[in-house]
Amino acid sequence: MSNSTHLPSREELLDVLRASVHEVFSSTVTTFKQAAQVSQQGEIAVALEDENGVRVTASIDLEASVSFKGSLAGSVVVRCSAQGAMDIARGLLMLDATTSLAVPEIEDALGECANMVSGVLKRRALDPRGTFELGLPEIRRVPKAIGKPGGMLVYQLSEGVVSMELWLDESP
Amino acid sequence: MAKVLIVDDSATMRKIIMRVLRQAELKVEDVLEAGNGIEGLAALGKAPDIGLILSDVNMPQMNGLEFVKKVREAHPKEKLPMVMITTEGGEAMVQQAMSNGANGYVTKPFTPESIRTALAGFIG
Ligand SMILES: [Mg+2]
Repeated sequence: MSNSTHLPSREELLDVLRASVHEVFSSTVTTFKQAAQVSQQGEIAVALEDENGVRVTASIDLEASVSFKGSLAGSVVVRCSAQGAMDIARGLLMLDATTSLAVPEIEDALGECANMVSGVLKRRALDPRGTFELGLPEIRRVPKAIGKPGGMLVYQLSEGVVSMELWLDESP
Repeated sequence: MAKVLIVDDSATMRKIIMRVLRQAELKVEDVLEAGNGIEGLAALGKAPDIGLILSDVNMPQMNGLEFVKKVREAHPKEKLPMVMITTEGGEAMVQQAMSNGANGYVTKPFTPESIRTALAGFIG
């Protein structure tokens, strides 16, 4: 039996993910220092190059995901080091680097970040007619290794790292 | 000067909306917060002088589409404007919100300009 659903290519997915991340962060935070290279596969750590071209590995400490369901099903996942999560939360709330935030505030901010990226992705690329359903943000403090097809973009923040990921379920 | 109710399950988003309301220099007298439609209805019951509601769509327990419908059972569109602030903004969702009684909508992420434009007719 042939599968009639056209799955976008990895490049197409990464392009829409990149555009969605850009839209969300250009209007809410300004903490992105540089966009690092695309990693092939996600695990519980991400690798990126520092300013001297040295490959460094950053641990992933916190993960927020929002699922989507329609002609395609999957999740938008935002995974951060502890520092990166704090940086994103401060950025969204427009707080300076000296302000410390409580864990629930950081988790909520990361969830909202996943929510906004998934919304833009849905509206812009996956679901222009608006028939997809988005789930509520889910937070995991013990991230799991990724086993699904999709793509990820790793960004260096002013402090820490964030990995923006799109996972598609095998069958919708 | 209007009393505004912000309904969103994310405390971060409620703070962002409050900041943008200040930046947009809208005539807001007071801001009340709720985390879902049920809390929103309770807040409205306690503060009947609320003059504008800004509501998220995707929320637990009672989502924004149900919430707007419930509010309209007692408060007509002309008396109490409701603007949806949503991440989705798909055609089907917007049509549903409008037919349930919303006066307008803004998509996230938003700028002070888009908020100002969307709310200009309701608060000065
Ligand atoms: Mg929400």
